[in-house]
Amino acid sequence: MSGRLTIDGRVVEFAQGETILDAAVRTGVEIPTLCKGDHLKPEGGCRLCMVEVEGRRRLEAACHTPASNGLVVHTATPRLQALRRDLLALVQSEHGPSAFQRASDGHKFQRLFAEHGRPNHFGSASEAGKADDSHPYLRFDAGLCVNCRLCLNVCEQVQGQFVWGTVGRGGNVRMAYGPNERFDDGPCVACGACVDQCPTGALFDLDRATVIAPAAKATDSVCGYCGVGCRVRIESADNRVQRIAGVPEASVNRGHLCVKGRYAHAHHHSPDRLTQPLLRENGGWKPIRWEEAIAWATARLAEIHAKHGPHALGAMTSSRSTNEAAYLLQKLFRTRFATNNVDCCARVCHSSTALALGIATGTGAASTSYDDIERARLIVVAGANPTEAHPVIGARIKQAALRGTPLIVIDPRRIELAEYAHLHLALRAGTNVQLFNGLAKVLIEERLFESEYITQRCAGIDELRGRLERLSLDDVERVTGVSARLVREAARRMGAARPCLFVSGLGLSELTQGTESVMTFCNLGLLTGSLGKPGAGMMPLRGQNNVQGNADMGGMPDRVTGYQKLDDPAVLERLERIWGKRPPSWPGKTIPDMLDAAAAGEIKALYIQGEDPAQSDPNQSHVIQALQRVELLIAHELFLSETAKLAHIVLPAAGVFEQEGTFTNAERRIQLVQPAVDPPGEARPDWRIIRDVAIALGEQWNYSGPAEIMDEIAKAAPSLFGGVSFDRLAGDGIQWPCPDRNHPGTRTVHGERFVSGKGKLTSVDYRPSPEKVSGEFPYLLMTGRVLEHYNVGTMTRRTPNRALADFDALEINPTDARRERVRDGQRIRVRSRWGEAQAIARLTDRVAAGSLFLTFHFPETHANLVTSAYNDPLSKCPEYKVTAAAIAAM
Amino acid sequence: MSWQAIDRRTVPESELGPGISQAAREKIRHFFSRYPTKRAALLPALHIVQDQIGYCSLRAMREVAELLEIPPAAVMDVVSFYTMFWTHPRGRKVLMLCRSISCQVMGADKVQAAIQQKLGIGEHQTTPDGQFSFVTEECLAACDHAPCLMVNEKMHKRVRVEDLDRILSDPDSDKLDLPRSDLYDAPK
Ligand code: SF4
Ligand code: SF4
Ligand code: FES
Ligand code: FES
Repeated sequence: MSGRLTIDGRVVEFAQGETILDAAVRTGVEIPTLCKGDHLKPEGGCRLCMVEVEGRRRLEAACHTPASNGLVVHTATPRLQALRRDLLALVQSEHGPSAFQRASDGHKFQRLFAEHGRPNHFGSASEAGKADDSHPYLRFDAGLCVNCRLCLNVCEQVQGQFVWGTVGRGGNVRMAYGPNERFDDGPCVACGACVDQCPTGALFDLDRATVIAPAAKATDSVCGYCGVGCRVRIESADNRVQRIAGVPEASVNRGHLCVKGRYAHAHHHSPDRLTQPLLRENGGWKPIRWEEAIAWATARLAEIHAKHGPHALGAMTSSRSTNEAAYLLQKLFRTRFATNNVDCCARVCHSSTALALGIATGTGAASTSYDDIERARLIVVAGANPTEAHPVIGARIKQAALRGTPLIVIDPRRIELAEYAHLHLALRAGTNVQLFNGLAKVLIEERLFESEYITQRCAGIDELRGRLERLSLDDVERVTGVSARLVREAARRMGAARPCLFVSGLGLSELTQGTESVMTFCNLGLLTGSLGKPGAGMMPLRGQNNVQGNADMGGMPDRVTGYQKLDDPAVLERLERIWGKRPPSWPGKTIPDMLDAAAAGEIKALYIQGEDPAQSDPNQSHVIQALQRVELLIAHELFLSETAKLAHIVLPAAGVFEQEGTFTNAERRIQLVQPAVDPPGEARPDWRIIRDVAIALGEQWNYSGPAEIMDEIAKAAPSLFGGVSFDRLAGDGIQWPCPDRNHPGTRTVHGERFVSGKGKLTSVDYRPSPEKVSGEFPYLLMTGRVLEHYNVGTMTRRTPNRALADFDALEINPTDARRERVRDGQRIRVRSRWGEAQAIARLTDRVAAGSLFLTFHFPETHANLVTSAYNDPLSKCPEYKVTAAAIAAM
Repeated sequence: MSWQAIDRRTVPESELGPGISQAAREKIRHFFSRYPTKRAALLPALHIVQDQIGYCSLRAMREVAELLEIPPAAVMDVVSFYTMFWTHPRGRKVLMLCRSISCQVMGADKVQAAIQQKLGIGEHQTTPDGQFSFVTEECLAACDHAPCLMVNEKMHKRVRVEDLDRILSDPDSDKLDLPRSDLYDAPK
């Protein structure tokens, strides 16, 4: 029902499903509440929100009384005021006299006291005990808890973690972490949502526990960890980050964050941050001034270029830094050095995805927006572990599943989402193509596909049908280990629910058949008619905060800014007009090719902006050899990383909270990054370093700042970014394509037609990986991440996250462990044809027998010494996900 | 579910207490078919646990949660709601004295004082020899025989201070024919 009601004399319209409180909030009438949280279902426990409704004898709780037509509501009568004072006095009586003085300003409870005069006419209990500070980030002080259950509700309804329970009964009820006595023991993922909700400060962030003064400054920016791209509010004082909170109205995260985004910021103030340019001299480091550093680096670059030509240089742009920096670096190499040897770390993660989706649909990016998760009719998650690697999206998917949205998980491991899934297809690692073909076969044979969409909008159905006729579900079962019955059921569910949402991750792309895995996955999207429809489509989850933007900016050897083709004369002409120079049309080298060329002595200078291939790339010994062989290695870095240690000159860069620019997240959303604090010492933003290098090389680059660079990007790639400019990016930014200033941005790509005209179905057979298990190497090793750490851990290892997880774990099935005589917690050696690593064994049936799972967050593990040298011949994406391995206890 | 995926294990194994046996698991599983959800089998499951282990250990609560596919917090909610569930080891005989109105009027207070003095323990405590534990309970539903004292499964009615020595020394003071969890007859 919708209609009108009167609140304190004001007439208010209300919509279907609204409560009296909702209507009041909208009018600006403030009704005190204690147990109702934004975006949470009403708890109805505190009764503070009681209002008088004319004609009704009893008082009504505004937070859960539906608004109805013609109600006349009073919110602040003397009777209500007296009641509220009594309620507050009762709550207070359960606590020691000084209880609420401890948590000082800002909390809701203190504001209520301020309004109602701290009533205390029921006396108070004796002083409570000590707070629990077992957790590195969270503290719970039961003495301040008023049992409003907001923590429990937010933990269940937003994060989906179910940490909290109520222990005892009657007057003795108290909030507790279930049977656990310590906060750090149990299912809490330290998302911090409960801290934001707590009205008294009983739950508190330890990262600001020592901060006395309230934050002087709040800066809205974007999280610097993963490709989800949560918007953060950075509170700072005295040039230090004090605390990070989610921006409540942000479209991406609605105020929610994960443990990395919210708490893992201490690395910014780490004492080993680089603060001055460092030049290698006599085996040591000599700090030098910026002018010297730029002069030295540019002289060497120019010299090598002059002597060996454009093919002897290469650059890696950083997926961690801004769009503007990436754009400048590729422009510098393409113009000043006339080489397309530019690539970014997307190569080692999602290059297969981008290539595959590009071929199938015309753009390598997601066709969807995150909001499609809540609108989806069925969600398929394949080769992604979002609750750990993309936690805020993981939480959104989990909530959708808890609300009943059917979920199909395709993953060799029983990942957390598998516990919520209706079906879990636990395939053998690396056999995706076979499984997706099997699913497509059922969709086609049982005529469960969207036939009109396929005939009118897509090409290749006949060829696909023909090829799949030769495939039997028994073959699928034999190769993938997933029963024919399960394959059929999954396909039928997709067919019945179509269109569906297809979420994917690196489990598809980091394989020798990576590109084809994604293409055959995309087949499922096309067959179910999902691309271009709201609540459906392809959603690849990007790894780094700005890996999407990096590729968008042209950090790739075969495409220039905005994925424009290098052999298109119109593009080259336009770029020449803007850049003053025409980029070469021959494609450059990918990261693996650059490293090979470096090892072979062909590439002599490498410019690495904020990446750590010496630790993050596969077949580590080869990478190190390559980096040692080049004549010039320039690195931008925050820390002396494994790669920086090999460099000839290291330029100290500003971190995410220290610079201005933009990041683009996995839903193509370009968002504004703003500096909250100054970089330490003389560290500088990447864009500025690159600009200064260019100027020293004689280029006429006089950009005053990132905004001006973005204006040039808009001109360079008008069809994607033509309408993007800093003055439009406040708040939630813009999702590209955004071709002109009046364009609102694009939520769903391929709406009317595919970017490439027609969607392309791919017919391809499964080919087994060259990595095969054998008597000597009987296990299939996969690699991946855990929630608490980010990639090679350069940032997270320098934060208290280390207390949450302080070693790399090797997950092993208990049956295998028994055979290998490995105990839980034991240090073990993992060996492959390629090398050796060490980790701590963790016995779990999350991995199937015959499989191992290793994280790669700690350099001492050397996970990438074990991974193979194979890569996808199409995308050059390395095969991190399958290596034949053997283990032995140490 | 998530409570299995995230597994910090900061409390050492040795402090988790005993886990539930295979037989007990089987017994719990038998109850699943009786109810619309697995969660609904929580009460019988906890009785089975207590019959086997004597109390609801941390390990057992986690195992029950896993078996029933509910959060450990939901298990603890129930364990802590009912006084007959214990989260730490209890004595062989648990003395449960009624503290509700009829029994109070009829002298339960005096009985309580006498028990505590004889055994030298407070509420929810256990004698050092592991023989007795003591708690007070809400109405035991035998008000016409107040004051009432239960010893494990057996009800002692109209208890006077003078009766206590007999009750405490009688080895059969708690004998009932059935163990409690068999009161829930598992479906065949
Ligand atoms: S921090 Fe997050 S996961 Fe942990 S208890 Fe609070 S809401 Fe739940
Ligand atoms: S989900 Fe990703 S972007 Fe969001 S807070 Fe966590 S790391 Fe940052
Ligand atoms: S806010 Fe309505 S009952 Fe607490
Ligand atoms: S009051 Fe004691 S049995 Fe009812």
